[in-house]
Amino acid sequence: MASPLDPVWAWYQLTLDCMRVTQRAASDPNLSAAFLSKHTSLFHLDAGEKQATVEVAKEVLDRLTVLDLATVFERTLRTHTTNSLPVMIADHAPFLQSLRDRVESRAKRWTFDELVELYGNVHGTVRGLVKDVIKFRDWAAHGWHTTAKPAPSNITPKDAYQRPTDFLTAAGIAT
Amino acid sequence: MQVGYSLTLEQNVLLKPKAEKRAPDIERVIGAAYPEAHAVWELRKGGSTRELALVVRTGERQAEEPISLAELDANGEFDKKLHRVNDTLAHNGVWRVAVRELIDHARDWCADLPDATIKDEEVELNEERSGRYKLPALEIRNRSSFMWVKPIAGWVVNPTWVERAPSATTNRAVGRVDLRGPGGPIYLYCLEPEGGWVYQANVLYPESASYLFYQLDKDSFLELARVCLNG
Repeated sequence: MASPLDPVWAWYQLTLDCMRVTQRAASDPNLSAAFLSKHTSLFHLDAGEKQATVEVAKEVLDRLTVLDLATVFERTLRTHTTNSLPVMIADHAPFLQSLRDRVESRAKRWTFDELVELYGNVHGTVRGLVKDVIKFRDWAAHGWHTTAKPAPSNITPKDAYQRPTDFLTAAGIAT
Repeated sequence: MQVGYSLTLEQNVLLKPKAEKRAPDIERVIGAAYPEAHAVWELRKGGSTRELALVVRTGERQAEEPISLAELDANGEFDKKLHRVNDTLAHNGVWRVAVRELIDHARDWCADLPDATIKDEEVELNEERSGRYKLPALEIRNRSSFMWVKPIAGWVVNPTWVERAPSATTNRAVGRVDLRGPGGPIYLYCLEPEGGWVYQANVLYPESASYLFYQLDKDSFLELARVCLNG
């Protein structure tokens, strides 16, 4: 399968393009009629304020994209882990069935680090790099709104797409 | 070097003596590298509990390190934390100097951007290892189009295009400044040990391999600024 992160990357690029077009329209006096009174967040602003407002939104978009990419990545790993269990224990003997059920229920509570470390076939460096993505995801989800929580190492959406994709490819989950 | 205690820690009869006992270690490790440094023990709210943090400032460098009680009690672990503080101070200094130099250059270079007006701005960063501090930024206006030269983070994950470059496997990014505007964001990374600011080649040359990057200079900055301003 192609990377499950591809659709997220596609919507990010689409949204970014829309914002860039809006900024271009705001910077061109001949296109001022493109902004109608129903565009309430932009209509009343001058050209510079329009561009600055969209720029702030682009920074938020970057964070939300990392959040979404990391979430899809984590869900993909959890699903893959759980789906691997029936294959692993095929004869359904009662003891093995119980064991599988126990592992399945516990798997939902594994931390992300525990989950990633299951994939020993993926190089240690690649495993480490995706942990940075998740750390930034956690901050994007819980920290930046209040500005009280300091940011961990920053990551761009492009790298938050590339690193988990590399991981999934190395793990044989994506092509 | 000086070691101080925040007001909340001064009032804590359990933790303050433990922190006080570590003053010689702080002087031995941090004081040796930064004799002018000023370290302050703080007691911060961390979730439902309070946690100790060591905040160190010296000139234009600063570092923060949370320290658990177990780390405070264990000599080896505490030394590791102090060396980490030294690393952070070194990193923070390199990054802040690099940003100031970049902003100074960018301001000068923009004189060759027709009809451009430059406005100095300031951004505040708040990072796990370096704490809260301010850095200069620029707003560049070209006719009715705007762009910003904005420091984003001193602590960054190495971009994949730096890691994959065959000639630069030992390079590490020590911070990122974005060119933000209709054609952005365009990422500039400050690299060590090679030094200097770099940009991904395919921003200006779309046919370039994705792992290629070039050093930023006046010509490339002006070209990147045009891309950023014009979308």
